[in-house]
Amino acid sequence: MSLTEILRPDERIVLSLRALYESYGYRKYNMSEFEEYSLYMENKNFLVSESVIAFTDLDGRLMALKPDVTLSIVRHSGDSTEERVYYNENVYRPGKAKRGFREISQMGLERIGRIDGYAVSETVCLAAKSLYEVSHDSLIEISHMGFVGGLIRALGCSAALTCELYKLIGAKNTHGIAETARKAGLGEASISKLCAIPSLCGEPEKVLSSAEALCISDEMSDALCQLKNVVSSLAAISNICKVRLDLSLLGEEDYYNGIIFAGFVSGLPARVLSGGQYDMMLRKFGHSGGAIGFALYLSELELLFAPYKPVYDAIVIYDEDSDPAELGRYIDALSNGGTVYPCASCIECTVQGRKVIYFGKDGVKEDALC
Amino acid sequence: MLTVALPKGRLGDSVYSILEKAGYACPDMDEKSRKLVFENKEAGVRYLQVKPTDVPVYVERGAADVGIAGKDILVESGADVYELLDLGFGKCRMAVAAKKGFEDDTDRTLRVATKFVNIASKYYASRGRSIDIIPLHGSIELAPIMGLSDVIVDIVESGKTLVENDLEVIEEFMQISARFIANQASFKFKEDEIMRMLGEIREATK
Repeated sequence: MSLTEILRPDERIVLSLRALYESYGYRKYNMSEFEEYSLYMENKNFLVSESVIAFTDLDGRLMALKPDVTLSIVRHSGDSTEERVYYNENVYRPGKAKRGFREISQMGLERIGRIDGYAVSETVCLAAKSLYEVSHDSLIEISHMGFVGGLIRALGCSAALTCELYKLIGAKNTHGIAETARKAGLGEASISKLCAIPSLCGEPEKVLSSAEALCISDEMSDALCQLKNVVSSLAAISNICKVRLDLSLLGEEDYYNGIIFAGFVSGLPARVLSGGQYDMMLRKFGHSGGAIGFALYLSELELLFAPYKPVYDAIVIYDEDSDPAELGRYIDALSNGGTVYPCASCIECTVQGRKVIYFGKDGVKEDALC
Repeated sequence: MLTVALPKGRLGDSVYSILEKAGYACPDMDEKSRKLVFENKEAGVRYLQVKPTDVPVYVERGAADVGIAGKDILVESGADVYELLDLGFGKCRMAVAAKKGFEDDTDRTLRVATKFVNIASKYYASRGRSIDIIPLHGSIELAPIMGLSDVIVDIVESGKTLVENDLEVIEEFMQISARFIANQASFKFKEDEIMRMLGEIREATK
């Protein structure tokens, strides 16, 4: 049986993405399962969840089973280095119902160093190609922290109000935005601008045109300009998913600046990809360069694939008194031409096959499916 | 086809009658039956009759594209969904209540009985008040009467139940009403359908 025939859909996706990332000059990054616990405690806001599995290592250090990959890559990269790496790693986080930790498989890439307009576009393009590889019925949504951030800064909102508005905007909670902004004493014109953000989503041209009308600062205009550049770069690329903009898509403002994006696959209930430019995280580590990357949550893709139920070319029911060497030779020869499932009795056999072969002292007998 | 998680009870009935008038009727739903899923292919709608506290779960996990849930249930669940509209009905308040004349001794840990463990914990954490949470599932008003707790955190509508049990509201801290919520991924692929339904509901609840 050939490799391509035996690969399961998730395995095929991983190998295809490896080929994709390596064709763009990314190298595989291998990491340890453990990191120092302090890394995550000092960067709690970047994590999906504050809960981390910790243990005391043999040398007395408090370690953690990594809940995130990006932090490790940034921490171990030097300042002024150019890194283009991809990874396929497991992380450990609480499940949605928070009843226990889960091992979550994710694949992604990080680009650290000089992040210019092309680097941003290329990263978003690779995210869009990754989604297309998973499913042709997928989409990427792109936003820019500078648009909403720029508006909130131009309106002079306090840190507490900013934090509250980010949550409400992210939830498209227009009535909540209006109520909170009104309570904070913002004028109706400002409230109207904030309330318009949740509806700035959909076809890029339509969104960019509506968003321009809301610009009240250079920061907001620059954000739209960068978005336009990314959108027009993507328009020139083949084999990518559908592209949408959603200016209410926001990331953690302590870490993300610039472009952020999320990926969705039709039929799956939550985002399967997250990414963005995170120069601010590098500053926290004392680095001067920029960084951009994304993670594809392979564990979230399980629901896409039908349960694995192989159908074997042959089920071989053998007599327990059969000569093991002779049986082994027979099975080996059969397996060179297809898949075979040796079994001591019909009762034990719980798999499906295309034919049944009885192997016993009296020889070999082929039969129809049992 | 949009799948709508409707809470069983008064709230679900009110929202269904709005949707029915807006062209999202499902004739089967008028019949008294034990069915939980109702579909009208022509109208492009499927309804799930769901326990009110489960609506955010169905929507967050994509079993329903949209749903109707009280703000109390939404906040308590912490579900990561889009909250697209305040329907403006089912109004009540989240409040702290206690026996008449109760005085809080801040030297002691406050015993708080509630169905809303997350809401109560967050509220008192914001006040820096040390509490002992006593999770209950019903007749919460009984807790301070029987000395099980000092106070309760519960929803208050008319306040009649509190008065009849010699309790009073100490503080109201959250306005509650019914909300129209949507699964974030569904919103990306079915935005037009969802916004159309939202528009009909918004028009009807003005």
